[in-house]
Amino acid sequence: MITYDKGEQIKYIARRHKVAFFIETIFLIIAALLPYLAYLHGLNFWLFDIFTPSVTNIFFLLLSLYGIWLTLLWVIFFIAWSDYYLDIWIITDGRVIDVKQKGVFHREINTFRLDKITDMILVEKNWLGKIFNYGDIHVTLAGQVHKFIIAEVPEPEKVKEQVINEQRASLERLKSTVQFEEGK
Amino acid sequence: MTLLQNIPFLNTLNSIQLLWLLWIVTFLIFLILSMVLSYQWRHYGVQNSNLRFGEFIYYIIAIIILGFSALAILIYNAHF
Repeated sequence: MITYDKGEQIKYIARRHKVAFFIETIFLIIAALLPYLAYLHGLNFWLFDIFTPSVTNIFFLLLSLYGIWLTLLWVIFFIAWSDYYLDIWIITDGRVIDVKQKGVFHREINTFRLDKITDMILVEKNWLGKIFNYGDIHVTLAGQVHKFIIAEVPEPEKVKEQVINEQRASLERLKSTVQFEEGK
Repeated sequence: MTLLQNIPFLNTLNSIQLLWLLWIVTFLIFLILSMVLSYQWRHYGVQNSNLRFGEFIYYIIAIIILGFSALAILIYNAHF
């Protein structure tokens, strides 16, 4: 569970673009259609070697095996969907929370303060990114070599703008707090 | 059954038993992964109606596919 500080406001939640997720799952659609294509082209001879179907029950044998195959693909699809849905970047008024979901069990949460950001670079990796307007944002933090990457985010310029605005507001708040304490 | 003749245990099963074994293994994979996924959605996902609807669709479709598959095995068994 992500815990927020008292009074912390969520400003933006960024996920990977739906097109990037769709491209990732295209192979599942192909895998779902493959047995049907194999059946059309008579590539089911090996089934006769494993099972012993007769002419009357071959259809039900194929149907049951196809059902088992589709169930497995459906589960894999939902693992990919969970990966997409739970892999998020939460931009609040004080920090960025980077939640990485890798597969079913692995989960990583990184947090960094907005005032620690020193550089942000937009990277459009391919022509699909240009058409559907999505790309990566590489974030460099002060004193760190490791870069944080917001991958395949939709409207990356808007997200970058949002982070910069929040960073500016955060620095202003920090500045006014310091001035107030110095004035004391 | 020549492909399975060298595999212990599996070479003793007939077509129907082999199909049911495949079905049960698939069902167990579905059950275990679904429990983990459900936990992830409820625990880490931002709880909203879209997510609950997605979870509902996931279970309904999986149960329909598994049900049809089991039905096909039963009919295959009847014709065996």
